[in-house]
Amino acid sequence: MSAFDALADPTRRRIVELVSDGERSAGEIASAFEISRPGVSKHLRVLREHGLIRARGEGTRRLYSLDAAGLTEVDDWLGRFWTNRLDALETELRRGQRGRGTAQD
Amino acid sequence: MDEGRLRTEGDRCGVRFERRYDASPEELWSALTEPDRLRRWLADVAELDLRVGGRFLLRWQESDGTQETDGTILALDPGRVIELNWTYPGEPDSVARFELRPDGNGTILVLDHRGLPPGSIAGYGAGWHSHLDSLAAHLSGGQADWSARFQELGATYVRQAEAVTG
Repeated sequence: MSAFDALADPTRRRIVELVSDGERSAGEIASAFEISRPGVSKHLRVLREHGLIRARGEGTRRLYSLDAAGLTEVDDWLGRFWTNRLDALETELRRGQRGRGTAQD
Repeated sequence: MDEGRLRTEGDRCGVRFERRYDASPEELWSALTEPDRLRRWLADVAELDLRVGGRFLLRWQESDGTQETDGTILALDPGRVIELNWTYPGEPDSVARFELRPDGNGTILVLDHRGLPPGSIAGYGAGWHSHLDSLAAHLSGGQADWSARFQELGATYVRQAEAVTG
């Protein structure tokens, strides 16, 4: 399975989006989904194995952040043009989500 | 068969799609060549001087600037063929050719993009595939999520790229 296969799953894509906004705890990530906590843990493990996210311990919490390694693998196959297109859209997508969140607050 | 076929040609690569759309050739030609319509399925900004040697520009807005490809129209047979000289900084120039032919009450579109570097072939495969899906949605009055579709398709094209480039 390549980094791209790991990203083929919508839940895992959403997790990558979440942590690309900044470090998130396992609990914060799990609360964004309706699936079970063990289910989320499984996705986190797949993403870590493919170098898409990184984990570190802080006290009893585990914090997850974006890892450039897996994204570099993706970049190597896509080329700069499409990687940039993807970055742009991802950024827009995240901004849109934040915008909607603020409007509801 | 909706999936594009990747191929190698010496040290360059190509990708070819053959799609059937439930639209007349005139309707499909309009979606491919009118800037207002290109903005619905391909780019945020589209400019096109529709003649051989005429310039075209496609631009995508980014949060940290813009990204664009521009070039000239290499060949044009209105309603049937448009071939573009595709340029992007850091990549060799390549050629994207669109050919239309009627098929019953629909139209077959053949998109062939050649002269691509091996290191971006999976991107062009998944990228065009997702855009051609967006085109189908546009023709039926809808809208598609280009980014999500692109990411879904990526793995398939990475595997195909690995297979053809050895």
